[in-house]
Amino acid sequence: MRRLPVIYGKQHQANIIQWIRSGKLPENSKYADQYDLFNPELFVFDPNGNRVNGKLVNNDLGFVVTFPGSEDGFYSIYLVEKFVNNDTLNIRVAKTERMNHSCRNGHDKALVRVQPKIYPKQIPIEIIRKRVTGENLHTVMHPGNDVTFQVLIKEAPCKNGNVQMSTHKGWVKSQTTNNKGEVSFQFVQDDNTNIKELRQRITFNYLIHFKKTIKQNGNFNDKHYNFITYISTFSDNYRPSQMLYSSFVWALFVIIGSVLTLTAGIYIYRKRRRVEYKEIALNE
Amino acid sequence: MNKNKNTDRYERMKKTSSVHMAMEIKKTLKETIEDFPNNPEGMDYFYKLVSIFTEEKKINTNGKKVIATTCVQVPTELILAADAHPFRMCSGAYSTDQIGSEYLPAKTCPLVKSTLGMMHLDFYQVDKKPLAVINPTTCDQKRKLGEISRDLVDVPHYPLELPPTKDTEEARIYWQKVVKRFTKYIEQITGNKITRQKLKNSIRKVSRAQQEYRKFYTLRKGKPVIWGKDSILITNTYFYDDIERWTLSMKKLNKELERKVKNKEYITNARSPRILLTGSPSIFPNLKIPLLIESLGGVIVAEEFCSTSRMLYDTVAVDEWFMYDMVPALADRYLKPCTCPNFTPNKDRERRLLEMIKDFSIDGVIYQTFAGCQLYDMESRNISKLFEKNGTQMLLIETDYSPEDHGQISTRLEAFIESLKTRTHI
Amino acid sequence: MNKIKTYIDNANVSRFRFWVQLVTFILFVYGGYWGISISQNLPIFACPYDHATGGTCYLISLQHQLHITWANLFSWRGVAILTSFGTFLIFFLVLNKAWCGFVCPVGTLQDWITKLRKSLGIRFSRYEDSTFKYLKVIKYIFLLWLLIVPLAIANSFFGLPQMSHDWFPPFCTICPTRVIMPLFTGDVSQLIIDFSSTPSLIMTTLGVLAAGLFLTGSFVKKRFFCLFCPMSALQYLFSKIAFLRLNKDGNKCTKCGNCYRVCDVGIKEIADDITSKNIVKDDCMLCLKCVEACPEDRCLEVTFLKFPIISATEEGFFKRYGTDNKELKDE
Repeated sequence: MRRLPVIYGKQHQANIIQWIRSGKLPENSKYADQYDLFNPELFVFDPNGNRVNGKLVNNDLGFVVTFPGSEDGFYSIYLVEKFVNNDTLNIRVAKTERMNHSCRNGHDKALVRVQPKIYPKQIPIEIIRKRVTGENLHTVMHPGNDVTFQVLIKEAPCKNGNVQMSTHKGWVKSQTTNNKGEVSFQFVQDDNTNIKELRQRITFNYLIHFKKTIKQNGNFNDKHYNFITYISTFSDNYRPSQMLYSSFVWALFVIIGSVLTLTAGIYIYRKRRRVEYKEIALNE
Repeated sequence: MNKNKNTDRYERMKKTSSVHMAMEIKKTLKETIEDFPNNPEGMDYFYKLVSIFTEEKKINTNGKKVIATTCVQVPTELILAADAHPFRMCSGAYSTDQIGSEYLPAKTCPLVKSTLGMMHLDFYQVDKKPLAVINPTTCDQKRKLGEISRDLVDVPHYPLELPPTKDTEEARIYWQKVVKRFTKYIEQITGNKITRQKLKNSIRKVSRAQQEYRKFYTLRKGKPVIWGKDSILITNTYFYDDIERWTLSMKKLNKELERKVKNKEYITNARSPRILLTGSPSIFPNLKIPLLIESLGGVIVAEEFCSTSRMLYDTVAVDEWFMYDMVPALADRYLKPCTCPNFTPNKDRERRLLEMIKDFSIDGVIYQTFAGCQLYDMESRNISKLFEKNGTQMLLIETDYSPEDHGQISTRLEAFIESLKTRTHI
Repeated sequence: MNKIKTYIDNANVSRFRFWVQLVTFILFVYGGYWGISISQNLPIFACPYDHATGGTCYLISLQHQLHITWANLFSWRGVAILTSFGTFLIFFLVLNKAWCGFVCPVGTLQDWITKLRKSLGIRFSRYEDSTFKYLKVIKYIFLLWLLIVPLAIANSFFGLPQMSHDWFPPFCTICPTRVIMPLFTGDVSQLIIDFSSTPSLIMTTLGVLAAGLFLTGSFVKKRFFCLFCPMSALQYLFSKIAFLRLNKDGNKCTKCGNCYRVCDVGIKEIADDITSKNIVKDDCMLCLKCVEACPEDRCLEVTFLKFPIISATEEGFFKRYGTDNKELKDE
């Protein structure tokens, strides 16, 4: 079984807590534990690009990552595994970006502060979420948005890699990266979002999964390998579309509007029919 | 007051015609009642009803306003709903026919002449002068009747625009609009509002009358228990009688006839040829042809006249009992199933006749046309061709209201009925 | 036997129909609460978007089954399509179009809306003859649309690109039933306009518009939606071989037009056609109101496998329309 760590978390807490799970799809994944992992190495970078000390611990919430930090901006958290299995070097990276923001700290230079950062020295493979136009410290993805991801292997864009997106509610779509190593997805409306979830502002997570095998010889920890398999995951969350509210509102508007216009139309039509006969218009 | 009416001559005319008419009615009644045995008791009501005309009495309308109609296509339900008494003014009297002849071309149909004479002399069968004459634009002569009567009759004339064809959607819609306008007109002249409740009740009233009529109609499909001359008389009284009274008397008669069927008390033996009478309508007191046929041994078991089955057979169904549905429903009922020959094409009449021949086990058809009644005369050509194909015997008789052709017609009818008798024997 | 026949001929079919409709409405809108699931292939608009439905409209099954590649179409999955269609056909053949008049919950809903209008005394609309002829065709267009689009999503036609999956299911997304029926279980989730993609936006907007049209339309026009129903089009293709029939004896017809007058869908042929024996037309829903309104003995007759069920009779007509001595109340 392939094991793929995923990181999931909550914002706005003094210590950001991350769970790590295994499984490819959110719906059938499970929480990972320390025994599943092969020499995991944890990297946590604060928004300024400095490595901070993070820890993998087992606590009441499960197997989690904790780290200190109160800087405004994206904390990038990576869990890296490297091991040789048969003749393949497996390089697995689980990545997540956590926005830490308090409005007390102000919103200056928001556009700069939200830009992604990469750490090629430590992290061999990166999945970057391209920032959307006008992204700020409060941006949350919603269904209906277009999201673009770029895959870099050792800073170079990865062509023809398979990227799969899956959402909390089970929507799955695969695409192949282009010359720039980019793929775009459109978040599709979840079928069974109900209005209760919307009202409670529940966040859901999605997962980007990338896998590519290349032929390359080498040694790792004294073991020889002929292939390298890169597996990387990137997880983030999204909320049911704000547009969903407007979807309902629009629908109400359309149905009431159509009923009213039609009723008025029929009423006027019936009124007009009662008008005395005047003139016949002939086609010339 | 019309100046035509204010003369001594008019008064004299009125007096002599009245005497003539009384005599004519008496004579017809005598022939109708006394020359035939086994008249049902239920007929007494109808005999009595027409016999009051001999005493210069009129039908009591209970103080209601009266609206006269001249053809079968007037929706009487609307008149009833306006609390008025509908009264169909087609006349069969020879005495008024002679009066009408003075004002109309010689080759006019006797029914139109007689009706004009009746209106001119104010010989209405009801105790009140009508508020208006509703005249559907059916045949040419009826159409012109209104214009000619302008100087002779002091009752307003309302032409009800009947389309000349009935199969197209345009005709149907047009006629519905005409009837809607007519509804307003009735409200206006009577001063009574036609409410949906009143209209529903009047539709029900007519429907009950139709139910009794159809029961009567169905009874005649079996062996004969009533003479055709009585049937014609009954439907004639529907022209002017109070509808509920009429329905009640009809109900009594039907009960009696049902009993007769049960006891097998037939009016004549099985060998009498069963006759279907059609064409120009026989209207009391012009029962010349029916009386002749039946005195010569035929039995009229069905009539296809606008004074009989065409008037009472077809029913109204309404989906939503509101004015918006009831009035168009009435319009449809008076247009679509009507087999009046003024419609073209009039295939429905042919179908109807064939169906009646089958239903009533008809031995022979007698087709009556009045001299001057062009439409029935012209239509007889197609119908006789149809019957030839179908193997039905038909006799075409041209006649009018005068008693002069009595002998000649009698000879032809006798021969026809005899031939039918031999045919039935074989 | 004769007594039973007379009783049925004199019966008030409309009242009977009302109760049957009430029961079937509850069954097909709320049946799921009792675990009822009759079939996936019913010839009625029992909408699966209503989570409590007691059965499923065949059209959605059909659309799902036709979302299939050509290769699969001619494999065992093709057989599944056939068995599903067979089930639909068996259901349909038994009752013919009476499914529409007696069972379909959407039809029932429209009849109730009509009742509401009647109680308000607002008059109904009728199409003009010429308009009617054009509008009739729409249901066949819908039928073609729902047959072709799923195939065009799964396959490429003539080298054209495949259609986006967001068009799926091509009819349900624009069907007013999808929006309205779930409302009966308090589910508003279908009353929504989906902005996530252009096809979804178009289809859901049309769906909501159609729902609005449905409400107003069926308020002023009896059985408004039935004229556009692709199920009705599909049914009519097989109506000629159904067991339940409505026959007309043209010789007995006097063209009085009573049947046309009461016809909720406005079929003119019922009154004017005197040559056809089988008088079930594509819009007919076999509600049998025409049989109730026909005063000619056996002119209209409903048969099941040639066995007469109910016939028009003079007696029955007058029972329903004539001798009712009840007077209307004052307005």
